Amino acid sequence: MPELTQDQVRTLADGFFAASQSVGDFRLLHFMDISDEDQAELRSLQKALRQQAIDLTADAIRLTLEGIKPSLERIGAVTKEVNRAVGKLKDVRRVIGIATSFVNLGGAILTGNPAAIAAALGSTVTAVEESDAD
Amino acid sequence: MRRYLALALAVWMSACTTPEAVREFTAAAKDSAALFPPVVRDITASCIRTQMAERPLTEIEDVGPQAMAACKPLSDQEPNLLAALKVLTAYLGALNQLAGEGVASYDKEIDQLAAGIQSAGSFGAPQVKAVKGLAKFVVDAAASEYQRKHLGKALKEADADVAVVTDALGKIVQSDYDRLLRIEQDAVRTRYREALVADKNPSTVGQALLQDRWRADLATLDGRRRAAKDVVAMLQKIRDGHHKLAEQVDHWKTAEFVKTLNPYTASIRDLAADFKTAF
Repeated sequence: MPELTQDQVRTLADGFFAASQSVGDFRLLHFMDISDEDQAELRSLQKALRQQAIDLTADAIRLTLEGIKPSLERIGAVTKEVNRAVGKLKDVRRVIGIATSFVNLGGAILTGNPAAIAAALGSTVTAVEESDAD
Repeated sequence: MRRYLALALAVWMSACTTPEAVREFTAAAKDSAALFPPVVRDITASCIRTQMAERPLTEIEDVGPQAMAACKPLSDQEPNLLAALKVLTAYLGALNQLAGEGVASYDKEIDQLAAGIQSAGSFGAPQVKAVKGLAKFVVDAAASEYQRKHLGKALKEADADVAVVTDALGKIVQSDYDRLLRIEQDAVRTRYREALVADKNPSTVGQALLQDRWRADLATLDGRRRAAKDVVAMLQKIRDGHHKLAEQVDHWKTAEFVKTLNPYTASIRDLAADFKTAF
């Protein structure tokens, strides 16, 4: 037998819940007229019908989630592309950062000051290393 | 001639930037989707509360293995549902990041570059200013165009799937979560009704207290059901706003488009505010 569709399962869940409500209403409406044993039986029946509605609800959720798996996978793939695009835009920032450090290094070399050259060289190395780290 | 060139460049630049309306919509969509996990967790929690309400009136018990077992089919689905929501949230977050103003703005870096050029000593102040302006123009234009192009591509590629996923999640909340809340409501009401009819020596004070307690429980459940409706409406607005964005990729700057998109953003924000009163 083919598996029920999610809509069919939802209709069944609604049906079982409505049946449990009817049993409960009947039991409470005739509370004084019904024996303790019958009360217990009706209470148990009401509970069982409610549980069926809960189980069918869980099944409807499962079927719905199974149905959207391919869509979720495709959205995941698009998300990766978008994140890659964001990364590329951040790359521009890194390139500018590296360029800035090279300009500073060039300026320091022109001054001929060893301490300034060493400091600028250190900054350039750091900028390049940071760019590699990501 | 120079004036016309400047005007043409300005028009080209403005066509490249991602408009505020798009940024605000993606931010509202991302923020609202981040609110949904408590609803997903309340699916199992509602079932547990139902199990507790069904216990005999003469018993005070903690949540035991029996209640957990009865709700296992639902708790088994919780990680899958949260994972589906995470995919949608991650997508909306990525869109918002790409649409974000900061992503394509390099002012700070360009200032540093200009300062570097100046300290290198090869250029005077007017030349440095010119290099800075040119660098800003070229980098901003390239980055904004890249940003808009990739946003448009993503929106078009994901549009149909976003509709499928938002509809499915909406169905689960609107139909399944709501049913579980109604089952819980019925279990609690049955408990109170049974307490009333089974009481051999009813007291007016006891009955009044029971009525007040029932009203409080009902208000809590009604609040959750209203929040569920907010979630469904937010998902629909995300779906429809996303579709408008995908459909009008080349017209994001037009006043007409902004007028069309802004109500979606405003509705999502309003619904999120209402949702927060229950969760």
